[in-house]
Amino acid sequence: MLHVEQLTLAAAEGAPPLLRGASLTLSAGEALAITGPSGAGKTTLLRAIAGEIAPRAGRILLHGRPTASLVGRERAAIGFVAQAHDLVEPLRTDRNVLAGALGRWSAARALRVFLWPNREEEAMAEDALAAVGLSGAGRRRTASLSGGERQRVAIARALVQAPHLLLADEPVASLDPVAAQRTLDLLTSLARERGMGLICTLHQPDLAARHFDRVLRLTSAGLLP
Amino acid sequence: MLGALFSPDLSPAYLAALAGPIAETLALTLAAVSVAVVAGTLLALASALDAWPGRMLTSVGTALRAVPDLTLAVLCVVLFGLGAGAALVALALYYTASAAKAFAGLLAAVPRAPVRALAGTGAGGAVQALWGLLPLAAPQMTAYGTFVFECAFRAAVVVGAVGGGGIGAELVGSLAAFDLPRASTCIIVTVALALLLERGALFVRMHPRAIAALLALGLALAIAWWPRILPGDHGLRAASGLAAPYLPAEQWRALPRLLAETFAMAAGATLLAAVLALPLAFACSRTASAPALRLISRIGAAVLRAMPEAVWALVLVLWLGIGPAVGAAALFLHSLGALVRLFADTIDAAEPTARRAVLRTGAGRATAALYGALPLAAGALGTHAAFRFDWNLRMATVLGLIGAGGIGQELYEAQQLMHYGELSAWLLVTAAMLIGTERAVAALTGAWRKRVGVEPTRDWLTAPPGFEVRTRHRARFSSIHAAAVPSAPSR
Repeated sequence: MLHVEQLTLAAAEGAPPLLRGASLTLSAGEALAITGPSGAGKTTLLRAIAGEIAPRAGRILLHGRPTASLVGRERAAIGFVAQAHDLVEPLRTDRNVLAGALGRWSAARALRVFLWPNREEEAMAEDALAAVGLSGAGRRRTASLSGGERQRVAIARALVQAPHLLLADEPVASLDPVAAQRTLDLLTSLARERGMGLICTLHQPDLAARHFDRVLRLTSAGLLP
Repeated sequence: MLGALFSPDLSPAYLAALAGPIAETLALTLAAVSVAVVAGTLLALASALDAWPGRMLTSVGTALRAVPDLTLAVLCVVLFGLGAGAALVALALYYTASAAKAFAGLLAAVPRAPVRALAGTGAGGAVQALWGLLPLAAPQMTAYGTFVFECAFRAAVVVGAVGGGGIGAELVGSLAAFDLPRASTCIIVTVALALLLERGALFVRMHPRAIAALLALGLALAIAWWPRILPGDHGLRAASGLAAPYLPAEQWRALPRLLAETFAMAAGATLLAAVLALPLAFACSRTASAPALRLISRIGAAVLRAMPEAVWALVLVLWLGIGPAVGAAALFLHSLGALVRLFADTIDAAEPTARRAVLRTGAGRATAALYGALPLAAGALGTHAAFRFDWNLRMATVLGLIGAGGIGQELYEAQQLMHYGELSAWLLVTAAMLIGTERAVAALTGAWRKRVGVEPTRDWLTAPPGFEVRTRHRARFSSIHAAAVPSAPSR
């Protein structure tokens, strides 16, 4: 499904490369963890896979198409759960969750749902929240949620988006050990159930080994098993 | 004469008769602000999303803002005739331009990551704006909208005085008839309403749902009042006159003196107000002053700034006669009220660590504010004073309409004599002077911030004088500008 070939990446234009000659493949339903120290370029790699950063060299293909060429609604094929969650805090939780479906809706429907979601849409938000263990939280203001809860809302948004590939950047960095275990269980089981490719960056090699089908280490020499 | 001004006509009959003009001024304000908020939001969004008309119309708006609101009203009266319609068009145009610029700045300052996340779901530009940009900027936009309402109310009173009707027309009528008790009542009512609106603005900020109802009412009023008829023969003649700006030789010779007069009025008033505002700000400060002193000085400052400059000028003209002294005194009194409040809020909003450290040495609250907060707030105070000069220069051209000399007086006389070529030339002079000064002030404040080590942020440049964002979550914001609350009404 995803093919990354001989990738060379830098954090900014003119900066020395963070990563040289990295390659990986990922099949549908597979859960891959990428570990590495801070500053190794894990986030940069995920953003490049998402098509947000152009590589210096190499190719990133999703279903045979370069991810950077996905525009507009096609971008919904890749879900991204950012470390800072990137939720719209002034909105209610259910609106943040439903935002995952915006790529499938017309502008008129997006306006209507923003003001008056119908039962079907409310149920869509509730199902996603229930899947991440936040049943009934839809009416709460996002700003009132804890860090762990926000993390799960961001995952729920990605579920509503129903991407082929889900990228999660340090999804357990701000969580206690129990919540971290639960979140990783949730992500990996969702990936398997829905046949969605999953790539998570992590600091902790032990957690990675316990939950994921495959673990790669990001070093200056590339991605190593 | 002074005694007469201090014995207002509070008879029930007169107070009842004022209800109509008051309602007219409030309705005019609401209609103009509603148009401005809706149109300003659309323009700012178009600009934020790089939609083609956005940037172009915002640039037109920037040019329009160079013409003071009252001057714009004079122009609208020329084109549409006397009445609420002309006042509505003038206020709506001016505040649309203001709101578009401020909203564009607020939208640009919104954290981008959540909006990028929405783009990642495949949402288009308009949908990203609705689901991301607007909710994220809504608290600041609401605060700015209520601030605009306070400003527009004062402008509506003054516009009424030059033919727009409402309480302003009643005030000018009373003054012209030397009916000082009634004039005094009008002033008291204006000040009381301005103070009430300040409170009302806080209420609206806490209850955003009220905004939708107010906007709907305002737009309905605007539709009812919008001038139906296009400019008639007179308007077309005026428009063709305006298209050919012209100044006779003697006016060219007078130009340096008039410019100097206008500058002197604004600079003198700002300097004196800034110097006196600093000690008075300590009396008003939450962190430096005793409660009783604070209450008295806050009320004093509120009364000073609740009277628009033009109303101060109308009253002062009775004692000082016409001329630049009236303009300078009016600008000084209003600026003092505005700067005291702004300076006090700025000192209170300074990062508290240093102040606490001084308090731990056993120093008193005022000393702690002086040593611990004032040095941190110096950059912001300088910027506020500079923006106030910019504002006062704008107002100095407006006060000329009331006989305070300078360029404004020439402009008004040209309009009264129907010399539209001259009117247009004076408008161009005014716009050039104000745009030039705005640029110079921005450059100077940039240099000042660098000197005192304040990080320049977009907010400093886009927020109008006196605008600060006050929300319930004040503590969540760290910088003075991002932090504060409804600002001191600046006019």
